Amino acid sequence: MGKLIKYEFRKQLMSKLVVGAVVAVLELVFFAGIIFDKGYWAGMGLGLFALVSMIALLYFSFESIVTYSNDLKTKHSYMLFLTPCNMFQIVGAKLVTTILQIFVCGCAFLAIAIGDIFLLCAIKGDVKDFIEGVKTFFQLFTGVEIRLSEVIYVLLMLLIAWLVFVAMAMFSITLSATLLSNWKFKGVASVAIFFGLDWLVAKVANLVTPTDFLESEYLVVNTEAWAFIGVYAVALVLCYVGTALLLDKKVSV
Amino acid sequence: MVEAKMVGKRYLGKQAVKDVSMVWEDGRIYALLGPNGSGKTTFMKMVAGLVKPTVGELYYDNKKIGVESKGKVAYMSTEPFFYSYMNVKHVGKYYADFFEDFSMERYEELISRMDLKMTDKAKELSSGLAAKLKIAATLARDAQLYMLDEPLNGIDIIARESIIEAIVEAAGENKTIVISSHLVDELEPIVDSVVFMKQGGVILAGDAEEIRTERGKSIVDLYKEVYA
Repeated sequence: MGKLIKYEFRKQLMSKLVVGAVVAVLELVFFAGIIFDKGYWAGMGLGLFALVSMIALLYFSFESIVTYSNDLKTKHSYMLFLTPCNMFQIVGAKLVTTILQIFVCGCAFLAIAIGDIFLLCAIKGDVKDFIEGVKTFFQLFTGVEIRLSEVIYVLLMLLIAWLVFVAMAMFSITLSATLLSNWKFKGVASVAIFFGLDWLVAKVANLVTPTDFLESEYLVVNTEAWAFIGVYAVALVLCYVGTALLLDKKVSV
Repeated sequence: MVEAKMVGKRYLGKQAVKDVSMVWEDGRIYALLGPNGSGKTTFMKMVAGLVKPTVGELYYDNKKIGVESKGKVAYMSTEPFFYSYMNVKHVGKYYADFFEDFSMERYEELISRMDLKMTDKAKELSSGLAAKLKIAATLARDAQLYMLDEPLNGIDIIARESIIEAIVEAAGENKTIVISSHLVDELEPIVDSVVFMKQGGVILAGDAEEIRTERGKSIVDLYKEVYA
């Protein structure tokens, strides 16, 4: 599966290079602002960097879905489906690539942001003050005191929810290319199936966790909270297995 | 050995392949003949595992077409299919990564014979050079079954000879080669068996020499008679 992942990365490398170049330019603007004491440049560089990094992370996920769709619809599909790899490996490689891309790029953006902030604090003030400031901000505006377990929980929940989003999109596209392939309105049906699945997963998650723990005053990482993630994990496995089985039994490229 | 039992494939309202039953034996070179839309490509794609039959059963070495057979079957499609970012070297590396029977030495030799350079971008090649690249990548595998869909399309008359030569070199006692082409006269001297397809079905199949003797005609003349 490692080789499949390698080529999934390679197929989607161009967008990373473009984003990398844009981020490099914005960092140069930020550093120039620091060196020449131009607060406006530094602020603009940092602000645009934050915006670009958020858009880029969203785009990378959508790019994974578009790449999968192209793998089923264009002749490039032969490159993938002629290889002696089973469909579980092929779909698994795509999901792993998606999560790795988000994770690696997210970590890179976070590292750059932390580096920039520390640099700013080193020049303009104290790092400790900054961290305290962030904590106070969260307590004031969310009423939540930051604890490591909660930060990990929220990050895990965001990651798995996003992965389920990608897996459901892949499953819907696969349905359109297999069981619905001879149907005129397969595209519309595919979109409807995606939203239907999204609604269903949210409904089941709410049934399993009747207390709306996410909207309570204090986020408590309890059994109910883990059950919520569990529902999304089951949805992920079902979409993965469903996609691989449909490809194995029905797909014609 | 490939065995098809009443294989059919239907797309929307169109029957692409209909009730095809045949056996491809080891050690033979087959010509799959027929006009556009006769079902040749769809049938080859089914053997390659790219297309699932709607009905019927398809076996390679007595096992259903699947992951195992993909490791033994080298299929060259008529359309270009390499990723846009790839150059000739990338194509070789990709095949080497996924196919155990791929030989980089053989690939480099074929690339050199086909007047290609390792740095040439796949998507920027002319149709003739792109066809040569597909042939080089396919024949650099030591596969048990080669299926070449229109390998001479877009190839000039001079280069055709070297391609036919490379195909014959790949042939062996336990290897099966299936070639689909409209250029029947180029294929006739090298094929052992012929399969004539029309409207998704097989209308004539057998040993090339026996057919020539029985009908008193060359395969080229028979092709003209069947499809005229």
